[in-house]
Parts: sequence; C-alpha cells; structure tokens
Amino acid sequence: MNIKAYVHNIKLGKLLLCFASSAFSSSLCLGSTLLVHQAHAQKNISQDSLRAIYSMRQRAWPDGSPVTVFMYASDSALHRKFCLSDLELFPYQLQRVWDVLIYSGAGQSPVLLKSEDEMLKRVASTVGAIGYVAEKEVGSDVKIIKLQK
Amino acid sequence: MLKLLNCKNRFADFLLICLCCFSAEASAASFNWDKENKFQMHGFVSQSFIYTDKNNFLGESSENGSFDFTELALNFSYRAWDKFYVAGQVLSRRAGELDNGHLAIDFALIDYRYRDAVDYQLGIRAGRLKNALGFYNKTRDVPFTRPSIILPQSIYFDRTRDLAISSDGVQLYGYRNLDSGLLMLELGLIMPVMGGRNTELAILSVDRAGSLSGEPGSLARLVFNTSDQRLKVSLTDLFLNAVYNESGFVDSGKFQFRQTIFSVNLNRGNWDYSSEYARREVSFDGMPVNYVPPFLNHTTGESYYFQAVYHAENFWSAYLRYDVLFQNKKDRSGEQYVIDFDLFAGTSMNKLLYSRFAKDKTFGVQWDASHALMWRMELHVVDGIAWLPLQNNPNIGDAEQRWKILAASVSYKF
Repeated sequence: MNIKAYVHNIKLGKLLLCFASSAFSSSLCLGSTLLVHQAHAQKNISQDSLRAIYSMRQRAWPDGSPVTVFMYASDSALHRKFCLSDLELFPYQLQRVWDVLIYSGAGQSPVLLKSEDEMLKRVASTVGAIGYVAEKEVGSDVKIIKLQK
Repeated sequence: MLKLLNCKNRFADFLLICLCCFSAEASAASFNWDKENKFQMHGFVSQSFIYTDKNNFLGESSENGSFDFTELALNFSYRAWDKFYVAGQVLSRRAGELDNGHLAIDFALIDYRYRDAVDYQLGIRAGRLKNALGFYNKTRDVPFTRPSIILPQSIYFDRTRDLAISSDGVQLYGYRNLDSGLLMLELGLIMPVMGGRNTELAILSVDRAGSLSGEPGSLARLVFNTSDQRLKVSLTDLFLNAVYNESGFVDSGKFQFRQTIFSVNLNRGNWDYSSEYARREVSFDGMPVNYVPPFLNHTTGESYYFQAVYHAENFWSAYLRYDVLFQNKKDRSGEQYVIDFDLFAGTSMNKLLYSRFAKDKTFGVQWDASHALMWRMELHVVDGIAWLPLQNNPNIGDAEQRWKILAASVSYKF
C-alpha cells in the first residue's frame, strides 16, 4: 500500500471517528496546525519546503535567517500524525534521515520538545522557529502558517 | 605500547560510563543547553553477542560465542554562524582482533553553506569526512542507520573498514529540488586514512615490513530521491591510491582501487526493498612478486545483495537478505586462482577456492523498544570465506567453507 492510499485510509478512518466523536474533538480530522514565530513573513509553505526543512536539509528561510525546527518524540502520536498527514512520510523514513545527518556530521536533528505547551512557548520565543500542534486555536504570540500541498 | 592501549581502553570505558550517565539524565533525544538551539550532542552505545558454528567473526566467536563487539560514539555539532557549521565525533569500536576499542576521530569538519534557497542548496565541507559509499558506509558503525547487526559484507566488508570509513579532504555538495524529487551531488577530493596493520592485511594479505601511505584520490556520489521518498537511486564512484615503501626497495609499489556502486531503494508502505551492486578494480604496479603474485596485479571483483525489510505497526520489523561477493568476476568459483597459485607457489591449496567468494543468506528481527532503544537478532548462513577477517582466523587452512553466524545486539542512542 503506498503512503497516499495509507494516509487516505487513515483520514477515512479518522473522518468516521470524527463523525462519531465530533462533540469531543474535531482536531483529528485534518493535519496539524503549523506554527512559526510572530516575525515570520510567509503565510504559506509548500510541502516540498516543509519536507526540506524537516529533513534538516534547508537550514535558512528565504530571507536568509536560520531555521530552528521543533518536534515531539518520534514515537509520539503527534509526531506520527504530522509525518503521515502533513509531510506524507513514514516516521521511520524521517528518523533515518536525521540519524544519517547526525552521525555523519552532515547536519543536526530537530529540537525535541515534550508537550504542546512547550511547543507554543518555544516557537513564540525563537525567531526563525517552526513547529506544530494538534490544536486549531492558538494564542496571538505565535503565527499559523498554511501548508499548501 | 601495551600501556598506551590499556590507557586508551580505559578512556573508552570512561567514555562509556559518561555516556550511560549522560543518557540517564537525558530524557530527550538531544541536549540543548543553549537557548538558541545551536549546539547539539548525540551519541550511541551498542553491545553485540556473536556466535559462529565455525570460523571466527569479530571475536573468538566459535567456542561459546563472543561479546567482543562493542561500539560507542559521542558527537557534537554547533551552528557557529548562520552559514557555518562545525561537527565532530569520537568513536570507539571493539571487534575481536580487528579493533581494540581505542578512541578514533571519526569525523571533524567545518561546513559552509553557500546557498540555502527553497529549491536548491550548495555548500562545502572540509576536514575529516565520512566516505559516502553506497547507502550505508557513511554511518556504517551506527546500529540505527544500518539495516542489520552485520552489514552486507560483500560491499561493506569489515576487513577493509579502516580504509573505507573516513578520509581527510574537501567536499562540494549540492541539493536540487525538482518536480519529481530531490537530486543530491557530492564531489570530494580525499586523502585516505590508512589504518595500519588492518589495511595492510586487507590489501597485501600479510603485514609486511614496509608501510602503505595514502595518496590523493576522489569520491563522487549522485543520489536521486522521489519527493515521497518511495524510490531512491544512487551512484558512487571511489578512486583510492596508495604507495608501498620499504627500506631496501629502490622503487615504491603502487596500489589503486576503484569502486563503483549502484544502489536502489524502493519503499512500498511498510515494505522497504534495497539492492546494491558494486564493481571493484584492484591494481598493483611495481610490487615485489613475492608480495603480490603477477596474476593478482589486476583483478575486478563484484558484489551484490537483495534485501527486504518489513516494518510492522507495533515497532517490530523483520529483514531478509541475500548477499554475494566474488573476488574475481571472471573466476567466480576460484578454480583459476587455485591453478595460478599452484603454478606460482608450487603448492596445492584447494582451500583457497572458497576464499574467492562468499554467499550469505540473512534473516533477522528488530524491535524498537523506544525511539532510543533497539534490539536485534539475526542468523547468517554463509557459503565461502571471501570476507572473513584474517585477524581472528590467522590460519586460512583451518577456515571452513560453510558456516553460520548467530548475532544479537542491544543499542541505545541519545
């Protein structure tokens, strides 16, 4: 099964789940909410660009300022959802890319955070930061950036 | 010398203890002491158990098995300025008679990113760099990036690991985003890091009185990866040069090694298929005939493997591989080698037949207990001894053609 079909099935499953539990949560239906620092100029980001950033290949934003990439533990549900729905990559593929970079000296890994609260705080306080949360509503100290697939 | 080795081993032990202490403290995958997230430190430690029914591999494995295979590393990276980045790693590897666990500088480099656009990136690296040969060589000592405890030996043989692992030099690298995927090119000018006795044994079969020294060579690699990472193909071309000098010889002998590797990786959801083909040209020039017999002056060897990995949803995976090596592609069975050897040395050595090839069937399972802890167990059924390290099997006449390896490992990273 390819990842598109796989993701499609997951989305389908989640869609059904969403209908069933719409009173409790609607956040499962779509991808994650992508966050950037307040001072960030772009409103949209392409999937290729998001992949280049999360693969730690693209180290700077188009204006030349360095990117700081935040993530959650690779075995967490949040990370899994982000990989499958937004990046459309399997978590183990991304993990392998980071491990090769780290252990060959070719790059760094994203900065690992423990919770969505921490994510909101760190993105708000780091110029050039990018991260994601499951929540659709966020405070005004971070900016939401839209993923264009 | 022995004292020095002991001292180095003690230092490796000390590093191991530090690693354990660090990792006990670290709940995250990296350290981030600095507020700007510019500094990172990572490491891993891995212990393997190896049992062989015949022959020894990475230790005295054939009696009751061996725990002589330990790998650990500690690295750091720092984004010094926007476009500059520095990184370094020390590595200790204990592998029977091949490696005594001494600490080695695995890489130490400075990286300058000349362009960092959305659709392309260009940069240059200099220092001690990892050799990017095929899919795995760059991180061959890292259990988390290789597909099994023991890498496909036909291409990533442990016999010549010292020579293959890193080089001193300069490398230009670039990434280009295309509609269909990502193209990556690496071009390097390299000076091989000669590994001393291990390298001499690998190249000359015997530790001779003189020494081999590295000469400039090159390494180029082109990789194409589709955007969804379902298909990855890569082409590697390595050109290595060395000279052999021994006092009393008028001329120095030349050694040239050229390796071309074609690699394919296909990803179908939970299934991951890989295959690599390598062609090696080994040439000697001006070596004394009693060191390198004339019939070995030019040899072309070839290797390939097919591998399938299944990633289950519950952090388990299983892998299956068939791996083949021929020292001489025109003499796959080794028969011509035995005839040539007879004529040259005047002795008959039928055992040499199976030192010219190796076929390895591997089956293994992996359990990722957490994002940091991984367990593996695998079985190798091997026919031939072409990649069997001589260090743990000093008498080739005692080596057996058909043998098995059972290996288990636990690896931790932070």
